[in-house]
Amino acid sequence: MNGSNDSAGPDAQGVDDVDLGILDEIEGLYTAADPPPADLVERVRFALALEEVNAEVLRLQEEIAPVAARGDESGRIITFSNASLSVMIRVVEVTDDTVRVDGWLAPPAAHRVTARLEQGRLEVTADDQGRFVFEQMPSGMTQFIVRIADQRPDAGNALATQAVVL
Amino acid sequence: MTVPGQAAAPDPPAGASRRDERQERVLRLSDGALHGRREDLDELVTELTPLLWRVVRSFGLDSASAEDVVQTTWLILLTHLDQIRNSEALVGWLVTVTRRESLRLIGAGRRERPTADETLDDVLVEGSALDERLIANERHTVLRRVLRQLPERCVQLLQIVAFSDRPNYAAIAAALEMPVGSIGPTRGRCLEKLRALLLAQPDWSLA
Repeated sequence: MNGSNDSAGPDAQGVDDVDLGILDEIEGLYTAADPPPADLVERVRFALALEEVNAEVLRLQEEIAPVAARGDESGRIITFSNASLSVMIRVVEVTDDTVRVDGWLAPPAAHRVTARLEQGRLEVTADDQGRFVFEQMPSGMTQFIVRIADQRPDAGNALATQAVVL
Repeated sequence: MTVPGQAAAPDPPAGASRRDERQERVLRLSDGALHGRREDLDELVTELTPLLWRVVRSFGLDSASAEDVVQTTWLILLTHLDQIRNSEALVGWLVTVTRRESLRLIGAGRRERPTADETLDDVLVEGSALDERLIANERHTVLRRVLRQLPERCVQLLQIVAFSDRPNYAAIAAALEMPVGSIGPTRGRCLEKLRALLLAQPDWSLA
């Protein structure tokens, strides 16, 4: 401690106000040239409004966009996973503002799958093959939560994906 | 407040106090978030996402990957809030996780990894609307030219430090796995080089 707190002088690591001015200009350059996407904060906030705060995170592993934009039945395929579970979903547009989501859990099991939407939630249960379907859900921000069918109801057994725009 | 038309003039003293203010705000919000206040966590997301974005981009990840990493990092924070002891540790923790998640994607070979310099070029070329604004801003043009003369490591370090608050430099250094003892000299050398190069530019003056 040198006891001095003169903001014009260099700090403990030798950075003075001219350096800080240069750093401000670097910040300005990158803010102008490469800002985060405008809706990223909104999507993060949506994802964090999750009630299951002890959920494990299912990371987005891969996303395959359809080759043809119109009339393509193959849809968009997104895979989320962690060390113990993988969730693959295929998203097909049904109408201008609704989509159908087909999903597969691996390893297969009859877990409960929730789609958290901007308005409310939808819940389905996967079959023994790990397959689940949301036949029609509104387009927009969605976060998937998988509740492991476990013998212990008190276990912290939910897994959550990031928010994606479907 | 920035006065239009006067943006080209740097204002170093304001920079220092602005960083101090930001630091205080982040500490207050971190404390609130650690005590379970969701609205503080939301504000923290607004406050720190630009820093985390910079960290991911400085590792050369593309925009889509960077979005995934930033969002994943915040989700991991949400599920680990009870494991963070104090508000001062939070920024470093976030940067650590952001770095780890970035390296995870690079390691998975999911995306090509350009150098930090190429990233800067990419972002400057990608959006032509942005580019016009940059050309209009002569100081940015000079700064960009000079940054390209620095080692990649320096460009990475400087852009992250530029987005962090003064008292958080040590936390950022630790999070980037640069020994705390060396971050000062490293930052000093990078800044020193940049400063000397800038002063040598005929179209740049340190106001």
